[in-house]
Amino acid sequence: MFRKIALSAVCLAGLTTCSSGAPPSIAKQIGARSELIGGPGALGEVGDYLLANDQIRLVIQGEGYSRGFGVYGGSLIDADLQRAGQSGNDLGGKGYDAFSEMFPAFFLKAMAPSKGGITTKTYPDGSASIIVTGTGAEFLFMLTRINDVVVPSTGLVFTNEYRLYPGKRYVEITTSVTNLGADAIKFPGDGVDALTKGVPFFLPVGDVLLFGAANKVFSPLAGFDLRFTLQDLYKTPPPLPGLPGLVTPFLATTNEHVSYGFASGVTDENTSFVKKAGYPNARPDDILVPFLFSGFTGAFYAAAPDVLESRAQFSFKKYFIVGTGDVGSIRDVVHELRGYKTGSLAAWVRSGLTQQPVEVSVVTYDASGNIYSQHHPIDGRFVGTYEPGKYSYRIVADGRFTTSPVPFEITEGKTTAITVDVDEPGSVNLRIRDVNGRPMPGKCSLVSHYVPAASGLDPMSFLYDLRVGEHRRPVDLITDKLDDEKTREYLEQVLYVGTQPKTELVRPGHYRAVCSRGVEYDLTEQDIDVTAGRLTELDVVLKQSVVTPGWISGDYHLHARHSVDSYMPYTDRITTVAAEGVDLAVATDHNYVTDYTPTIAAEELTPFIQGMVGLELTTLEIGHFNGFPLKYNPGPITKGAFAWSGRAPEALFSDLRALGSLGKDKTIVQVNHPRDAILGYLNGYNYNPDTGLPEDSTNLFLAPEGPEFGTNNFSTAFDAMEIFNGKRFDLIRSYRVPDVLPPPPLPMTIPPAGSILRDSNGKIAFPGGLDDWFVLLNQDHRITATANSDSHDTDDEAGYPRTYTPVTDDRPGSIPEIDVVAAMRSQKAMLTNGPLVFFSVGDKGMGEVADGKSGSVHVKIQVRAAGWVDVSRVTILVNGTPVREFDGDAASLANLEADIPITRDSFVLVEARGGKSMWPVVTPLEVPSVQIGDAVGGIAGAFGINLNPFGNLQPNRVGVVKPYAFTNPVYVDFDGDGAFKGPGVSAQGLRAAMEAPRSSATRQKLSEMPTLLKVFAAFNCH
Amino acid sequence: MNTSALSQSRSQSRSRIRIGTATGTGTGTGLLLLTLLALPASAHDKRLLRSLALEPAGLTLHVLASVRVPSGPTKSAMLAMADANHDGQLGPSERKGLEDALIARALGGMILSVGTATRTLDGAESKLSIGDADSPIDLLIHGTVALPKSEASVRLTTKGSGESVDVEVLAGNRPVVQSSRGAPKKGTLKTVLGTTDAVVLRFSAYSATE
Repeated sequence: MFRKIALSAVCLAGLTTCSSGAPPSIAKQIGARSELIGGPGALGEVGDYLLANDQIRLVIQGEGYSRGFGVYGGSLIDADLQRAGQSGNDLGGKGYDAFSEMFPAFFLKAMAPSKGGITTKTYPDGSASIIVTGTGAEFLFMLTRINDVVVPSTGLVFTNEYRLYPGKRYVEITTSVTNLGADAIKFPGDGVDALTKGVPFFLPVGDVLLFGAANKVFSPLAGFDLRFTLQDLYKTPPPLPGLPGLVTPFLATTNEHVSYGFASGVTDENTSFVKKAGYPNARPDDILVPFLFSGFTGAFYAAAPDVLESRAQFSFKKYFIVGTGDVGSIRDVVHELRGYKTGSLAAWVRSGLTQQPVEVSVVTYDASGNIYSQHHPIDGRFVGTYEPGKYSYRIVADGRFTTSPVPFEITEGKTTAITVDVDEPGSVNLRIRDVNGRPMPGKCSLVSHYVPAASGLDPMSFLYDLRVGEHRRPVDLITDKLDDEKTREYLEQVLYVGTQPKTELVRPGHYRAVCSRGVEYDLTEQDIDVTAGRLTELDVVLKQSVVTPGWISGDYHLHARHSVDSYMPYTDRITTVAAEGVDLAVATDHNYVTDYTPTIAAEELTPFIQGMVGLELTTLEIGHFNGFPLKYNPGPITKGAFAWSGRAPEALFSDLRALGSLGKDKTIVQVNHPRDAILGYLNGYNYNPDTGLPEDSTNLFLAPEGPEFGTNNFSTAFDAMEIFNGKRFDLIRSYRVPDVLPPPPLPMTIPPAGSILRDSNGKIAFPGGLDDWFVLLNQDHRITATANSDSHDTDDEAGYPRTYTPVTDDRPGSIPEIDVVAAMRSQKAMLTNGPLVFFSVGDKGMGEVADGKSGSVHVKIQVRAAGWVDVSRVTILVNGTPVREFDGDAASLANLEADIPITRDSFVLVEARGGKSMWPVVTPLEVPSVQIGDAVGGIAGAFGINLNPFGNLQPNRVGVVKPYAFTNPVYVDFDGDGAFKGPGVSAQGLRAAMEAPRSSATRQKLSEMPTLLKVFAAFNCH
Repeated sequence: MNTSALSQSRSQSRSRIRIGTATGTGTGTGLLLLTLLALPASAHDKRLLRSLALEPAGLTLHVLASVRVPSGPTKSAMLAMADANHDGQLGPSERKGLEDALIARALGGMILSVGTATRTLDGAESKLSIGDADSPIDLLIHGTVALPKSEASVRLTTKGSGESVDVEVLAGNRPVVQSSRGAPKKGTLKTVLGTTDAVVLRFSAYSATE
């Protein structure tokens, strides 16, 4: 529902009139929770600062570290419209803040407020300000070395003044940099010559915005597709002093209740970065968006002066705008700020059948065919300002096909009125029941196929249009065949249902509904026809084909709306997890403690799913760590999350345990996705699986520096490690050179196919978490491997993979948390996205020690799988090395036994895999997330710095999902001391030592050498 | 000093290295690379200089790549970035980091193909010279690729590399008979490749009796 106050209609006729006679703005330190804004993204707390007028409210965080996803305080963290009847109470505000965070960026450097550096001020014109004073500080510590050279900040003082005028829906923000040192400072520093090779470079400055996943980010030209627009722009970077990125007049977002906008206030060509850098057709107030990752949006628009003399200052201005939920309400303010001559578009959008208002998105294009704006009608109406000219509009709405463009024209000072009659949508009413007729949660994937003529084309070119805000439609990633529509399948929509029937809008068409409930149930398929204006009934019975008495499946890594990168409301979150047959859902929002239990009860899903309170402690550069089960503290804004910046892992683990609901000793700390680029703990400390030790970074450009970094701070005081994360098969095993090389660019030196790729230091280029875990086990670290979906939305299905653990009561609602903790601490956990694998060595199970003194152990394996889950190979591994493989199918591999020789204390585990895609229940990983390396790499590339020395020779993140499962180990005591003692040196380490380069056995005589060899031989290192 | 990845290649494919017996020193004094190394140390050019020299020797093509960081602010900044612990000295691991970065800079964006196959450098080694304050930083990389006995087509491509590359081809015992950059002079060639550029060379067939 787009329920919003009719503010826009009041103001749009003439924005300036709204401000006349408006009451003065206020700026104050928040003294009571009732003064907070509140809302799904709200992070404001007593002690922060409130800036408000009669139109909007903003919260600037106080000093210290960021409560959100950034690093420092002093940032804009909450924003909303003023709303009637929205007064807060002791629990907080009742607004609709959905904004995450915004802070100034001096190239790649942020600002840390000084102690006592936040003040308020009022002006005679009725405006009020919050002024934050501080110093330059690292935002990403891995960029310290680059920043030290490019952004000399010694002696510089930064201020950020947020000034709110009466009656305005924007805050004017002025960032000033003052040189308090005795000497002039050059921007960029001298050292940049090393990077720019003498080409003049202007230091770009601006802001970093975290809009939050709940907000769809929009820019003219790119529409709602900033991500792929940027990706395309990276392919043709401009020469220095330009940087790769999107040049746009402003940024905006859409959301249900509130929208946000950002526009530059730089009007002087001499201080405009895009003008000085020579971007073609750029206006001085255009913004360069050089990166967009994990919710972080970079916005550069001003250029620092070449030299800042002692005691001199430079400033740049920008505007943060609050709108009514659509882009149009942001654009109206941009027009006002820039003094554009405009006319208005007034629209009445209604059902062509009932004449009643309908919920749609109206996307407009300019005469050049570029996306111009977007509107959400309120009660069927909207008014928006336009520059005079010819335009067209399209209607984008759930359950309907996006309409063809319809032209309209805007005349200066006049209003163009249009009436839009919208077709009726298709709809499906879904109910899922068990074989006894009882309702239960599940999902139906609506599969269709595209025409042969689209074979081989990029789905974005014909299947959906992200620019207008359509959702992505996953494809099967099978090579298309003209004569086989089964190879051209796509997913129109996935319908999730709880215990109550649910109706959802679906585009008209013929679909194959593939209905499922996780890995223990067989599929039910049914063809349906969806017709416009009609309700299609879909009533499905699902049968459980695999039972696991005494075991429960858990997803120990789930996100919902309190994570900056997830939009999911709790109800959707819980329904989607329950629909996948997961028994235990552990809430792990980023730096926010969440409890699903009230939602589970409200949705009447208690018999199907149980919640566990948890948290994903999210640092920027030393990893992500889950803690569970935790206490839920309703008092603090983040419900108990704590500051992490500048703190070493051991302290973080300790604080996580202190939040435990069962006590410190019964709290699980899980290291998540340990090898996921900058987000991975083992990457953050350069853990070397060859040596089993963390190492100092030798990267010349990217080496994090700070109190929490360095090998001494690495800690193994955690309980579990998430080896199997979602669809990230690339993170499981160390990358080996493939038989068929990918297309260029490739490194000059490529080892033979099948060998582990190593970097120029001889270190494994892309280590896998499973290999790391083997090393840790060899080092006697009894760390439990886990598998979790890390699901943020419905594209990454919850419960794929999941972790099975034994419990004394396996009924959701009654699962003892203490049993789960005990299993997690004793390595009684099986990881799977489909096949279920149970095994024993002798009479011992996972985490236990079996007797192997005889030099042989007997292994018994049971493999179970629902009919849609392929199983074709089962492997027994000893000390991480495969020792026995069984090939077959689910029936022939169901019960296996083998005697395995043992030659030392060992650990034994079992792996099962299938060769067929899990489509459409589990969609392929088709669009990998943008990583910081991609973002920073784009900028670094402009300086000739190649952060990716391997080119395309790296793990492929895109691919179909196939069944895969593995167990935690059973230990074997060979030497008879009753325990397992790891060798302490990894097999990989030994292998690496054997592979180490040897010195040349013979030297040629100098006289026989070619000239180049002579030159090289004669060259002296010094 | 070896670089691990390049050396690894050497150790894994040493059997493919066959160095010819001819000396091929006829044009040695005209080496562009030597000229580069002989540049006055006080030349405070801000640009990094890249060069690549090729010399066929029987069934082996010797490749010598170099990158020079001129003394002055460019060098100072490079050293400052390499000095991870800010102690004013370059320890072994810091020096290694600098060397790795320069190797990437020297070879960045370059693709060497023999016939239709992209080739890697076998037996590659590197040497780094930092020198005193007035000296430039020089890095040399030497490696080889195998050539066929028959007439050999070698393509050198730069794609999105940071700097242009000065290229010199020595005749060795297999002169350049044809190039996409004009006629070779006495079997040798000098040219400059831009940041996205290519040159195709055709070396004569090799006769073991030559």
